[in-house]
Amino acid sequence: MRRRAAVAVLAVAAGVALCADLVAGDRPLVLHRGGATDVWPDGPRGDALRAVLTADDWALWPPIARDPTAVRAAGAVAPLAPPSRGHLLGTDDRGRDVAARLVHGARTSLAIAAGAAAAATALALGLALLAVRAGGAVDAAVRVACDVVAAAPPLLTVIAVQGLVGARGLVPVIALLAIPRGADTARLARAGLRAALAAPWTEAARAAGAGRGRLLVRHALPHAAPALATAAAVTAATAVLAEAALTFLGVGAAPPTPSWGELLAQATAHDLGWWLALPAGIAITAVAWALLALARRDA
Amino acid sequence: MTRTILTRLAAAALAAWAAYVLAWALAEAAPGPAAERAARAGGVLPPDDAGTAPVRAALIARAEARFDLGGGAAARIARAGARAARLDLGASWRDGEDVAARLGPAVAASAAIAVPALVLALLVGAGLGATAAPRGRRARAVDAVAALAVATPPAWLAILGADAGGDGRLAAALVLAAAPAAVIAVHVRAALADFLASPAALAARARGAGGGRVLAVHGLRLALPGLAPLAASTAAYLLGTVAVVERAFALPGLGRVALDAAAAGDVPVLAAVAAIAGGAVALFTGAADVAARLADPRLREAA
Repeated sequence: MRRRAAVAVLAVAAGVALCADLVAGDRPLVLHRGGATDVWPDGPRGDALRAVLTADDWALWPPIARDPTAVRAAGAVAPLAPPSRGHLLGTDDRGRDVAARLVHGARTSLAIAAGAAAAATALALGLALLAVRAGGAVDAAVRVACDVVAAAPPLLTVIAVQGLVGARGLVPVIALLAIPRGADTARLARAGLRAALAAPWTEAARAAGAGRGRLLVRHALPHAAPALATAAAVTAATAVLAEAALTFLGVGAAPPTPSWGELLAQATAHDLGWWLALPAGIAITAVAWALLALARRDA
Repeated sequence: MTRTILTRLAAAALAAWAAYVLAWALAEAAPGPAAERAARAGGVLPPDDAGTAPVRAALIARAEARFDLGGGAAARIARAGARAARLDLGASWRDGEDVAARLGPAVAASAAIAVPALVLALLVGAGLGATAAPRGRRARAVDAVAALAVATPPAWLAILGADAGGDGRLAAALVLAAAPAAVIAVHVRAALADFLASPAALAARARGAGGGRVLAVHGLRLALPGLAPLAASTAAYLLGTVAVVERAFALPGLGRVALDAAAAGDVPVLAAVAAIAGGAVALFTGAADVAARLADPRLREAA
């Protein structure tokens, strides 16, 4: 039941993130104008297009027919407007549609989550394979380095490194979130690989003539895969929460990139516009919960 | 035990020094000469054009002399390491204020939130875990609430807490304690559930101990060594996340100092923050190790 709910939440979030332009935007999905019908047409959009449509023309708009970065709706700027028929979840401090920003924010959050999970898993696999393959001093060095890096407080590390190196943007955030999680995952992967290499079936494969590389990749790695999948889900959940916290602090996604954390930051700056805080908070909690629920199941 | 404590303290000091030096080394990867970045952090450097070249050069030279930034990258890093070994954290590039003087009150302000949060998390987590220890509906409820608490962004909770009004520090500590308390509750519940199914619990019951005594006296004591590393990782989590509640509740502290320094590219302050983080995490880990040895005689004998 919990797994099904988690998969459903993640499927909806991923679908919304992948199809954000089709769900929220001011570009019509289908436009019938001057006798011709275009699917996903180029040219004028939003209010500019509405103004030139005649009685014979029609357009099929996305469910949320607002651009996430447009500050004007019907020619007017309406900052911090509560929910209405024109803006289902109200507007933010610049008059941008919150529902549209929530939809496009899913893309930012999930991109960071997927990027951090993939990078952390790749780093962990590389470190674990290196440690187990080399053994001895290299193994000890990797273990100590992983212990040290994994213990670093992630938020403070991202803030400090961004300030020290002067790197801003989503890619440094993904890298800085992935490195400590990768180090943590590498410890799990290393332990899994070592346990598998000592198992009877690996001994049997060795006796049958399998080389060390083949033993690692074909026999030990599948044994460590469930732990890696669990760690990847935890990393993704951590990244969703960290992105929200970092953007809330002003060091995550840079404006005007839509982000769930940015909506939370605006809610703080403007004395709790509930329509800013509530949907973003629910979205972050739901996605993080679903990822953690999957991780728990995998474990 | 005294030797263990001294070793852990030395390790924490070494970790703080290493983090400080690493921060200076990372700062060398930033674009532009160090002296120019220092002058820019001070907010006095005019835009780079032909008319301002002499003024810029003079300001950069002054920053280089004031903050001891001459020579190559390796020399700067070595000098920073030597200063840190003498407990001299230097002056802020932004306003020239002594870094130690700035960080002292900030650390105290953050500790005033994080320490009560840690105590709350341990008490509430252990209490909830103990009450839900026998497997059943209550255990499932605690697990479900814990899963939600861990998944809830602290920033969101902080926004809701800030709107509720009241004492900012107390509300900030409550918000900060929510996720760690949930993790501790699940850990304690699982550990106590395992204990209740063990022969040790059966023996305690056979000697006439009641359900509460079996849990509180025998079970919690066995769960404590496992709780020590969790408390250490919780402290490290609080150290990072305190910045979020400080921002939401408009409170001063280490997080705000770090954010201001990061925005200005103030390397001495950021390096000192890194040293505090590195030293604190090593200290928490060492304290957890000592606490686990105190609680579990087997660990003392193994050492």
